[in-house]
This record gives sequence, structure tokens and C-alpha cells, in this order.
Amino acid sequence: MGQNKDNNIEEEVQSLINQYIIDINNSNEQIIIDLSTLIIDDKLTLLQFVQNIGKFLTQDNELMRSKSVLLISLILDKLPSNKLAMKDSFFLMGFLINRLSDNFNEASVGILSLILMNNFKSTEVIADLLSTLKENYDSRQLLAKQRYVAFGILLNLFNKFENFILSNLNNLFIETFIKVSTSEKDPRNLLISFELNYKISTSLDINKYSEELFDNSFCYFPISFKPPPNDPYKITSDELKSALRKILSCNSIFAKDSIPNLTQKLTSSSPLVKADALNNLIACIQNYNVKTVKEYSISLWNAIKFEILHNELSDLQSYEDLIKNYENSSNDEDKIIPLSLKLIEQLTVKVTSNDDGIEEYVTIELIIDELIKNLTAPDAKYSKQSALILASMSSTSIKIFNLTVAKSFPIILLCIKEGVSVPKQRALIINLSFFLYSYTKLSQNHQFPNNLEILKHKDDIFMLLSKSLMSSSKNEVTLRCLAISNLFKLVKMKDFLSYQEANLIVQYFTEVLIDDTNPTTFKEVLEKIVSVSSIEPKLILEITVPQLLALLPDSDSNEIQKEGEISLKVDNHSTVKSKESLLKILSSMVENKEILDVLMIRLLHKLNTLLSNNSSIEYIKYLILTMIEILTKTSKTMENHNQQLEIDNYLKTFLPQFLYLILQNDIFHSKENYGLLEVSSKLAKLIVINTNSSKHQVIVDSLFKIFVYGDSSSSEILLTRPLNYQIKLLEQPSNLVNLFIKLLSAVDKSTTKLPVDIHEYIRDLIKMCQLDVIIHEDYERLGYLQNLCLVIDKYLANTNEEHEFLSLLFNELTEPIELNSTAVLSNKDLKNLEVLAWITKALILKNDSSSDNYREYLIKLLDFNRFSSVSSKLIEVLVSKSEIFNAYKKSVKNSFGLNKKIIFNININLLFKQKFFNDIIPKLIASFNSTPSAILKKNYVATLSLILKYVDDDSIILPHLPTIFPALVSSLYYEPNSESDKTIIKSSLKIILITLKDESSSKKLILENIKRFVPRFLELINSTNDGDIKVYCLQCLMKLPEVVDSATLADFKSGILRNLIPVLDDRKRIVRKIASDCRQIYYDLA
Amino acid sequence: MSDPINANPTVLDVSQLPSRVTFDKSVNGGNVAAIFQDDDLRDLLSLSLFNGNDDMKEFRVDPDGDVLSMSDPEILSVASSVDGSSSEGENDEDEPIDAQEIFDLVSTISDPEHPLTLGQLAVISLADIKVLNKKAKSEISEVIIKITPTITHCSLATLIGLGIRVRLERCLPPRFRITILVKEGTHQSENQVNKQLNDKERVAAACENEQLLGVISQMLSTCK
Amino acid sequence: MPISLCHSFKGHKDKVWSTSVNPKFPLLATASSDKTCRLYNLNTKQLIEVLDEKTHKKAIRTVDWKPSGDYPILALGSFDATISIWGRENDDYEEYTTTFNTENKSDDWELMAIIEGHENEIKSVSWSCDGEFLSSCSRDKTIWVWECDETNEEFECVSVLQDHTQDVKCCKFHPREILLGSSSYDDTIRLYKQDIYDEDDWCCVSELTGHSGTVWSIDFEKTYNDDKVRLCSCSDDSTVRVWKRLKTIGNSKKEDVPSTLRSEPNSEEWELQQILPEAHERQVYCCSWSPTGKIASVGSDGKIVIYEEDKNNEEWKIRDVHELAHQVAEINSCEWWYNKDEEKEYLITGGDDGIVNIWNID
Repeated sequence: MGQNKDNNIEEEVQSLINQYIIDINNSNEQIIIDLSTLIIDDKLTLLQFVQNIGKFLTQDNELMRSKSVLLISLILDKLPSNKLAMKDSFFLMGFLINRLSDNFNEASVGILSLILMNNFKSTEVIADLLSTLKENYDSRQLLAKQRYVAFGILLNLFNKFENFILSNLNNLFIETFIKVSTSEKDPRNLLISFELNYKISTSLDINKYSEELFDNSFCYFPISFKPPPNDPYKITSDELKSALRKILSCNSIFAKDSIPNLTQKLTSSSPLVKADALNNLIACIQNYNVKTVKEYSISLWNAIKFEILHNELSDLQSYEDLIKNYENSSNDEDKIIPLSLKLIEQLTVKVTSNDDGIEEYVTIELIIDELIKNLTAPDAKYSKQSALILASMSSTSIKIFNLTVAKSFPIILLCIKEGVSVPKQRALIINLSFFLYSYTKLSQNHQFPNNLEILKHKDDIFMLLSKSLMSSSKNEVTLRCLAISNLFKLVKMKDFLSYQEANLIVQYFTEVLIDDTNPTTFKEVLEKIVSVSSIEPKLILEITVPQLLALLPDSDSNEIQKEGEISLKVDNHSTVKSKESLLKILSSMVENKEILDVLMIRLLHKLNTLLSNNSSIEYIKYLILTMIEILTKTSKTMENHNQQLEIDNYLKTFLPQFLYLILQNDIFHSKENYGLLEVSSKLAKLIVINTNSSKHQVIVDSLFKIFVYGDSSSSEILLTRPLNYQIKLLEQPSNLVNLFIKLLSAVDKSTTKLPVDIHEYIRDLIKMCQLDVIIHEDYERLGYLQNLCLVIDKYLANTNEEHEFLSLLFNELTEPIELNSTAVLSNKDLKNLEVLAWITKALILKNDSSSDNYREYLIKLLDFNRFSSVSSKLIEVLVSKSEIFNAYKKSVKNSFGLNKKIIFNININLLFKQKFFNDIIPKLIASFNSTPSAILKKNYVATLSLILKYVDDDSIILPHLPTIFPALVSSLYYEPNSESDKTIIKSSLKIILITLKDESSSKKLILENIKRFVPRFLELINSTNDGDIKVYCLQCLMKLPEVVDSATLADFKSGILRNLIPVLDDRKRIVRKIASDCRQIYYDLA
Repeated sequence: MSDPINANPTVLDVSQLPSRVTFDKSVNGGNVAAIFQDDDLRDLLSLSLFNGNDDMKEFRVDPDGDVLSMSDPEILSVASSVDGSSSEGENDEDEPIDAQEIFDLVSTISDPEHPLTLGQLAVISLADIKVLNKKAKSEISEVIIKITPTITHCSLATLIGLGIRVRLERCLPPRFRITILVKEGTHQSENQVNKQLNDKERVAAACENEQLLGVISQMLSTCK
Repeated sequence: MPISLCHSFKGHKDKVWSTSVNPKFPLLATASSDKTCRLYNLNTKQLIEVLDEKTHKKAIRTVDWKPSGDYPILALGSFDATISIWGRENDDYEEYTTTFNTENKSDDWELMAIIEGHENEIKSVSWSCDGEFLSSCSRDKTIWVWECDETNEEFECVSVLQDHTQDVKCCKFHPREILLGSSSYDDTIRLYKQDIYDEDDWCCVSELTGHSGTVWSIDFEKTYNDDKVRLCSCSDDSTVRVWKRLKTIGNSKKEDVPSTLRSEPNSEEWELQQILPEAHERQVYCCSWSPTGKIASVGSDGKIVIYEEDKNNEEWKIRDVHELAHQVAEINSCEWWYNKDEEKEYLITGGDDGIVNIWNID
């Protein structure tokens, strides 16, 4: 049974072999796979296979012979690496080596697979392989991928038999490599060639061949390789460059060739070549041994020094700019100087390192002495360049830093003695600034001894910089800015300045800040002061803040109100800064909580003085706005570092005094300007928002005591002293209700409850809302209405009991209102409707289930003529924005201990608006389409446009577009004279714009109406004086070409261009800009 | 385009170009009134049923021309929504066309030869633009622009001049007479170029020439 | 007696470059960048016809009525380098006197010929007084003189004049003599005449220099006494000048010697008579000499200026100025219209605002 099985395998193998070899153009893969599986499954031994193929190997038909060798190689390639026995691989290797002469390609593939076989260990055959390879390799005959196989052989041989080769075949291997690698062009092969060259140069003995190996790699310098578009191997020129660099710098033996050649390349005019040469030289210096580097140090120095000396570095003002410029610039031009400096640094490090035992500074001192000759005058030739080189050398080690400073500073600072002109001062400061950079760089990773050479010159440096800033004229802007930025460097330099010296510098900065009106200098010194406040806040708090605050006038009643600029005479030096800019400067300095706390208290005291000197409302308001700004800014910066601003202590130190000032000064309650009360309430709210929720119940209790029961005697938290009057919000109306609700809206809803019976409180509020006396006091009445809305939203539970109470209220409010009567609405009706609206708003905000009948009722009003004057306004209340209902988040630990941000101050369902829109829009449209009455039609559209004003996220409307569109578009033709008509038109335009922007629905809707739209847009643009309508129309016109094909637009083109001429002369620049952009689009229409 | 005649002109950084700095007056004496524009307060009061003026509140024009955002109660992190940043307030004085506006219109035109704009190449600078803008819009006003070609024999000076004229004729109202001149001494055939740039008939003809119009719209495509 | 607007034609959709009044029929033709030519009945101010947009691919820069022929024929020159000839055959005078309603007009205006030859934009066309020749000039620096056959369908180029060194802006035949004038971007004015013996040999008989900018247009004096030939010219240099012919040399029939043998070449001597008082602040695009001897000029500054000659001392002075005649737009053309019925002179102007105005001058 086994026998015939054998011989039918025999036949199968034979037929497969015949098929493969005879059918010349059929090199199908399948035969290879079948044969190799037979071998792998041991159905066929390799020997049998070779015997079967034997007869073809001796054929005189050359093609058959090469195909049979190829078949063997391909089979070998398919076999797993542990398949072959030792002697089989040895036998086959010998066989294939002999085949190299006439079937080089076919055999080399097989040889490569054999080398990779685990048990190919016979080293004796390698010599024969190498010499045959060397003999038969002719790159001109071979394709790139065939040469790739040859490189593969060498690389794998080396990796597998490195020691054997090193000890016995060192020269042969190198010679074979040189034969194979000479004049290779293909990038993939080059990468292997470079890798081999590197391995040879680092592991083998290359003394005899160092020139050849060097030439073999340096011939490719400089590499300017542009990868072909769809390069399968994704080789980049940087890869090739760094591989080449590794070779040139891997063995000091190359030095005699590499250094001269590379330095010669430095003279090339192309920055690309120069930068590459520099990078290579730097690598050589880093890798070659100290002896070699020392040998070439002087020749290197002479080659490199002119790279820097001959560059005027005209606009270089600091080392930091040089580095910044180098890092983010794309062109090589900017890389030359930094690379040259880096080379000098590496040279300095290497030459002074004591690898070979002797620390030798002769060369370095030579260089230093050569350079310091140029330092006699700060603006002399090469002076800046020499200082730059010396500074970069001194940044390599403390020893060299001291050495350089000791030698150069006496000369540099010599000229200070007899006074220096401004240009010399500028040059001198720049030269010194290079060394300040080295100091900073060294201090990052070195511990400074206290006998640092530069410290000897600290006073001279300090004197020079201070004089340049403080005694130079104000129009020497560059000099002063240089002085400022370098003085700041001194402050930043670790253990360089004493506290008094830093203090003095901040004092100088403060004086310049106050006195210098040049915008550039002002900007520079403000920037530096702000930086100081984040590293040394104490300095700013002790010096700058007090001086600025001192300048803030205690009252502005006596100033002449010139256009914002008020000159303030404060003891001797006056400043032209206005109080607004002083406050602005102060707020820009708040970089952390430490400064915030001090400034808030100081501003509070200033507020107190302002109030006692009856300053203007604007000035007080501006001060409070500044406090709000610094509070917000600090909270935001802390949040960016995910910390939470906690100012619980303000509840004792700030809030009580602030509230006392507000409540005790009637300027805050003045009828003409609610703004002051509004702004102050916002500040109070902000403080409570940023305090711990645990303290909020006490606040609520005190609130009710002071504002509802009029008892400010035992107020603990909210007031420093009792008021000399009583506030009883529920008995006697006062606009202080707005302060009350700001604070009530700030507390955490989950940790507080009302200290009163909620139903009673709600009823009292409703009574207040409906008092006749405040019918025309909108600010007061709206305060009470919002109070009602806030309380229902925040504290009325979503339970059946409360629902009954709500429906009770609903009936009480709606029952007296006669829907069908035609009489004019009485005040009573309006009061009820207003209360109804604000209650509905609360229920909608938190998506309370009992909001339905309230909402349905208000929407139903739209259907009655009687209510047409107010119904849309009532709907607007529901979606309108009010500060009271701004939701604030706090991060709180949830059940898994994770930090989660939740809204803590009001109940709000984030989708409330979406839900409301989805409900009301279909109703509005349906009624709009069905009602015959023009008045009602207009009312529906007016309501729709009011609502759309409050939509900022288009996605809410998109689903309704098809229905809204026709209704609103028809309203596009109202005359935009009354405000409400203008709003309707704006909403229609807004809808059109949204439709234009949303691909899905827009095409059809727009195309249908384009014939009417374009003329109407143009008509509106040329008729209305409302800037917004013009901008909208222009935006619609600009969007049209994106939706409508240019063929249809073609016949509108000339009309649009002509009709958009007048608007080019619009009185508003923004309108003119959009108009010209719009016309440009139509000019470019095909 | 043959390889650029003037291979490496000095290039200004965009940030150096003069731009209409809405001078932050608040740093040196802010415009006090603007800060007290309580938009929120005015919006709130407009909700009153009784005497909330019928005046619906104004939309606020969003300068970069996007659909206006009327945000609903913002969901804010603890940092409150300070409305200190309320808009500058509706100052309604007229904003006459001035040199800066002309500069903004033409400085972003791209040079036919380099991938840079005329502003970056300093072909146009604010100082070389003169606007004699008569108060009344019914009168004729004048704009005189002096261009500095990158090199003295620049053959593209006429093309650059034409690009500027087409851009201005498309963006300025017809009452402006535009004169474009090459800056004295910056071009060999100065008068010849000036004459061609200011011949309205030849400019009109050029605008009907397909190939030339293609080049010009390419130059204007980078206008922002 | 200030200049007052009498009528405005507002049909064109782009700038109006040129107008032409038919010498016989009360017909006004206006040419515009909107590639159309509109024909109006001057009595009824009614639009008669719009010569279609398809003929010319680019702006129509110039129009001129053929002075002779028993039915109205006009030539249109366009930036597309071609000239089109239009006419309306069995037309008669009466039709235009009655209030002409367009419906029952029997047959339309017919495109009779398209003349090609110029390399690029045509700037001006002008018929000779006897209608035998049509001259055209272009940016290709040449002036072509065409001979027109009686059918007005065949136009044969008689001569190509290449004397100008730059874009030729205007060419104009003298109202009575076969004398052709031209003005150009090269700041010069030139005059051409047929050689007496060789009909087809036109040559430049005189060159008038003095202007320091492009000379945009010229017009001949319309007087009837032969020995006084004058023309007016206007230019970029914002001046208007009057030139006078002193004498003509070598062209009088009496010495019937073949031209080749004649000693002096056929030439004329002209002299600047006067630079009219400066009234324009910018380029002056068009000037026109009225039958009664007044000169009108219009230009970029939007002004209409009327000059008058003091008969005894031949001194020109400004008679009238009308500012912002086309609001802020530039004015490209002006042409006198002598209304035979009213025996009154009107001025017709065309501007960048696409409007054609008729002005009362006195």
C-alpha cells in the first residue's frame, strides 16, 4: 500500500517539476506551494527532490537549467527555517555556490534562504561563497531587487557569523562588500549597504581599507533624495542622511578623510549642504576619540569660526531668539548659526574632557584669547559674534564658564567706566545677555559654587541695566526694552540676585509701567511684570500693587471727563494713565490666588473710599467689574489646571462688608441706573458660587432674615453691621429683590431648603408681582417674577402634592381671563398672564410633568385676536435668557469616587429648549397655514421669529425646516420698519441661511424660491438701514453658489453685481467688507 | 511661468503688516461708556408685558459674518459668564473709507510670480496709499496708490497694477477715481507703466480678455 | 442760461462708450459694454431697436451713422476686433415723424456685413462725408480705410495706415472734405488724404504734436467755407486744443504732375490755434464741434464744458460748465444734435452709469 503511494507521489512530483520547467512562461506559484508542502509533510525528502530535478540541471538548454535552479531556490525559500538537516543545507549550499557563475540570480535567492536556515552552521563554505560572490557580482547585469538579495546575503552572513568572519575572513568580507556596494544607487539597497558599512567599520579591522570604505560612503554626500511619489518602501532622505552620518562618525580612523572633506563642504553656498556638513562634523566630534578630536581641533576651529564671525547677526537680540528661530523655522538658512555654535560647544566639551586622563585647556584658552581681542568695544567688528561664541562655549561647564568670564568680562565691562553712547549700550547689553543665557542653561543641571566668576561683576551688570532703563530718554525704546527683558532675566536666574536687588528691579518696572507712555515699552514692561507675578508674587504684592492702587483716585468727582484720559496729579510724578487703564493693568497682573486675595481686599477698601467721596457711578461700576474680571480669570486659570477656586474665607472677609456697602449706600438703589445694582449682585453671586456648598444653608437663612423679615441684627455671614433700615421684600416692594435672587440663585440646591413654607411664599410673591404700584417699575417687578420662577424651579418638588398646588394656581390665574371676549385686556388679565408665563418658564426649564397645561394654555392664546398684542411676548419669556438661570457646574465625587461635573445651582433639563421647539413649532405652522386672519397669521410668524432668536444650535431647527420654511419665507416681504417686522425678517433670513448651510434639505427649498429670493435680498439691502438685515441678505447671497449650480445663477449674476454697487458705500465698514466678498464670489462664478 | 526673475525678494512677516488695530483704548484710558452697555439688563427689561418697549432687542452682528448666536442660558463651568466682554455697544458714527481699508483690500492680492502677497513683498505699503475722500457721497473722491515693484525691470508691474485696479474697481463705490502709479525711481519704464495702468479703456478691454482675466482672478483668489 | 437735462435714456446695463446721431433721420444710436447698440427715435424718445448681443462677443466701443444713402446704415466697432454694418432698407422718413409705434414696424434692422481685419480692439469708426469710405482704428496701431459698395455688403480695404506708434484712439472724417483725422495713445494727432492720382494711396499729410498725454478724440469744425479747416482735440493731459490748417502743399489739381515726380510730397501744414481755458481736472475723453461753432468736452471729472469763440479776436472762452452730469460716473462721449424742426442745438452725452442724456445748452 505504501509502495504505490510512494510511486504515485513520485509521478506527481515528476509531473509538477516537468510542468514548471518545460512550460517556460508558466512560473505559477501553485507548483512551488504543492512541492514545498510535500517536503514539509515529509512525503518527499529534499534529496529525492533534487534527484528528480537532476536531469534538468545537466540539460544543455540554458533556460531549463536556470529554471531548475530557480525552482530549488524558491522551494528553499518556502521551507521553515528548522526543516533542513545540517548536511542537506551544507550539500545544497555547495551546489548553489557552483551555480552562481551562470545562474547568479536564481542561485543567490536559494543561498539567502539557506543562510537563514537554523542548522546552516558550516563556516567552511563561507569563504568559498564570498569569493564566488565577489567574482561573479556585476551590478550592471542585475536589477535593483536582485542586487538587494546579494546585500541580504552579506548582511545575514555578518549577523550570523560575525566573530568567525572577524577572525578568519576579515579582509575577504570587506573586499566582497566593497565590490557589491560600489556605485549602488537604489535607496533600499543603499540603506542596507550603509548598515553593512557601519557594522564593518565598527566591528572589523578596517585599517587597510579605511580610505575605500570612506570613499564608498562619502561619495553619496550630500544626500538630496526625493522619494518617488508612491514609493512602496517609504524611505525618507533623513533616514539615508542619518545612516550615512553614522558611518562617517563611527570610527576615528576616518578622521583623516572625513574632517577635511566635511570642512571643505562648509564653503558650499547651499545652506542645505552646509547644514548637513555641520551635522556630520558634530557627530564626528561626539564619536571620535579625544586624541583624534584634539588633533583636528584647531583646523576645525579655523574652519567654523568664520561661519559666525562673518555673519553680522544684525537683528539678533538674544540667544533665546536664536534657539526659538532655529527650532521652528523651516529654511536651512536659520540653522547655520545654531549648528555652528553647537559644533563649537561639542568641540569644547571633547577637547577639555579627561577621557585620556589629562584635562587640557590649552586649545580652549587659545580660542578664548583670540576672541576676547574683539571685545574691546561692544559695537566693534566681530564683537557681538565673539561674545556669542564665548557664551556658547561657557555654557558647556562651570569651569569653562568661570574661565571665559574671568578673561572676557573685565574687557567687556571696561567701557562702562567712561560712559557709553546709546548704540554702544545696546550692543553691550546684547553681548552680556548671551552670558546670562549660558548661566541659565548651566543652572538647569549644575550646582553653582559660591565663588562663581560672574558674581564678581554682578554690580556692574546690574548698574548698566538699571541705568539703561531708568536714566535713558523715553524714546530710546529698543534700549529700554533690552534693559527690561535682561533685568527680568536677572530676576529669573537662580541664586543670582539678592532679595533687595530683585525688589529694586520690580520697583523700576513699576515706575516705567506708570510713567512710560510708549506702547511698545509699556507692553514689554507689563508682560515682564505679569511674568514676575507668577514666579515672585510677593514682590508684585509689596511694590507694584500698592503703587498702582495709590494712583487710583479716591474719587473722580473733581476730574474733567476728557475722552477717557484723565491726568492724575499724585505727589510728584503724574501719570497719564486713566483709572480704567490702571484697573486694567492691575487685573492683568492677577496670575494666581495669592495676588487675587490681596487685590480683592484692597479694591474693596478703595470701593469704600470711593463711596464715601461720592465718586461717579461709572467709576464704581468699573471697579466692581474689575473685581468680577479677576475673580473669573483666576477661577478659569485654576480650572485649566483642574483645581477648584475655593474662597470660603471671603464669606467672612469680603462678602459681609461688600453687601453692607451696597445695602447701606443708596447710590446702589438709584432708579436711574439699575446697572450698578446688577453688577454688584453679580459679584456677590460669583463669590457665593465659588464657596463650599456646606455653607450655603446659613446664607439662605441670613438672606431671608435680612431681606424678608427685615432683621439685620444677627446677620452673622452677610453683613458686618446691622442696617439702619429694614428690608421687607414681601411687604414693601424694592429693587433689592434683584440682589436677593442673585444670591438665592447661587446657592447649591441640594444642600439648601427655604426657611419658609413654600406655598405661602409663592402666594406672597404672586401678590407682590401683581402690585399696581410696581406695574411700571419693570426692574422691580421682573425681580419678583424671577424670584417666583427661581423658587418654583429650585425648591418646588416634582410630587403630586405640588402638582395639585400648581393646578390650583393655574385655575386661579386663568379662570378670570375671558378668552373669547373682544374687550381690551385689563391690567388684571395682563398681571395674571405675566405670572403664568414665569411659572411656566420654571416648569419648562426643569421639564416638570405639570408644565403641559400651563404651556398649552399660553400657546392657545395665540389663536385669539384679543391676545395678539401679548401672546408672542409671553412665549418669548419661556425661552428668553436671564442671568438668574445660568447653570453652574461643580465637580463632585460620584459613587465610584470619580470626579464628575454636575449642575448644582438650578434645576435645568439640558434638552428643555429642544423639547419646547419640537412641541410648539408644528402647532405654530399648522395654525399659520390654517388661519385665514392676516393678523393671526402675522402673530404666528412673529412668535416663530421671536423663538428663533433664541436658537443658537441650528440642529434644533433642522428637523422643522421643511415646515418653517414656507411660513417664514412668505413673511420675508413685510416692510422692515417696525421693530417686530424687522425681527420677523431677520428670522426668515436666518432660516434661509440655516437651510443654505444644511445640505440635506436645502437644495429643493432654495431652488423653488430663488426667483423671488434674489430680487428680495437685493431690495432689502438697498432699502433698509438695519445693518443686521443687510449682513444677513449678503450672507444668503454668498451661500447661494454653494447650493445652486452656476447655470441657474448665471442670469442673476449681472443683476446681483450691479445692485450690490450702492452697498459698497455703506456707512459701516463690516457691511462694505461682506459686500465686496460677496461680489468677488459672483465675479468668480463661471 | 519661467523661473522667477526675482528669486528671493525680502519678505515681511504678516504680523508686521499694518492692520486696523481696534486700539484697545481701555489700556490707555478706555472708552468708559462702552463698558456700561448692559445688554443683558436691556434684554431682561424687554420681557416686561406692560411697558417693555416694543423694541425687540437688536441682534448682535457677529463680525466674522457667521449666523448670529443668541445663546440660551449658558451651561458654564464654575467661572461665571462675565458679560464684561459685552460688545463695544452700538456706536453708530459713520466709518469712512480710509487708507487702511484700501490697504486691507489690496495687500492680500497674491503676486503672480511668488506664492506671497503684495503686502508681504512690500509692493504695497500703507504709507503709499492716499485717499481724498469727499464728505458727500454724491461727489467724486480719489484714491492714489503707489506701488513698489520688487525689482526695477519687473515686467509684471503692469500686471500687478492691473490686479490692484480690478480689485478696487470691484470693491469701491463708483465715486472713487483710482490712480495707480509706480513709485518714483523704482522702475525703469516708469511713465510707460503709469500710462498703461491708468488708461480706463485698455483696463476695460483687459477685463474682457479670457487669458488675462484668468491670471487676475488667480491673483485675487487669496484676498481675504 | 445754464445747461439743463432734457431727457435720459436708461436702457443700457453697462457703461455707454459712444453715441451717434443720424444726419438725416431723427435716429440716435448708442454703443455700450453690454455688447448691445440701442436705437432711439429722437423725436419720440422711444426705443426702436436693440441690435442683438450675439453679433459681438465683447463690448461695442464705437458707432457711426453713414451720412449718405437713402436708408439708415450704421457701423459698430467692438473690442472683439470686428465691425458690423446694420441697415434697415425700405425705411422712409415719414415713419419717424409720426409717433412711431414699434409693433407694426414691417421689417427689422438687418446685419449687412461683418468686417474683419484688425488684430485687436477697435476703438473708433467713421464714415467719409460722401459715405464712400469707412475708416476704423484699433489698438494694433493701425487705421484701416474701407471702400463700401452700394449694397453696403461688400467692404474692401483700400489702405492700412501705420503712422501711429501706439494704440489709435479715434479716427474722424472731415464733414465735407475727404480728409481723415486720427488721435492716439502716442500723444499725437495725424491727418491723412488720398493721393490725387492714385485713389488707393492714402498717406499721412500732417502730424500735430503738443499734447502731453493720450489724445482721446478729435472733431472737425462744421463750417462751409473751404479755406478755413479746423479741428479740436482733447487728452489725458486734461486740456482741449483747437488746431488750424494753414496751407496744403503739392496736392492741388493744377500741377497735374504724377505724384512720383512731384518735388514736395503731398502734405499739409497745421498750427495750434489755442489751448482752451482749463476747466477739466482729469482726463478729457471726448470733444465735439457744434454746427453753430460751439465746442463741448466731457471727461473723467464728470463735467460738461461748453466753449465759445469770440468771433472778432478768435479767442475761445468757457461758455458754461455743468458738474456731475452723470452723477459720480465718468462721461465717455459727447455729440451735438441739431434738431432741424426746433432749429435748436442739443448735446448728447453717454457715461459709465449706462445712461445717455440729452442736454439743453441755451
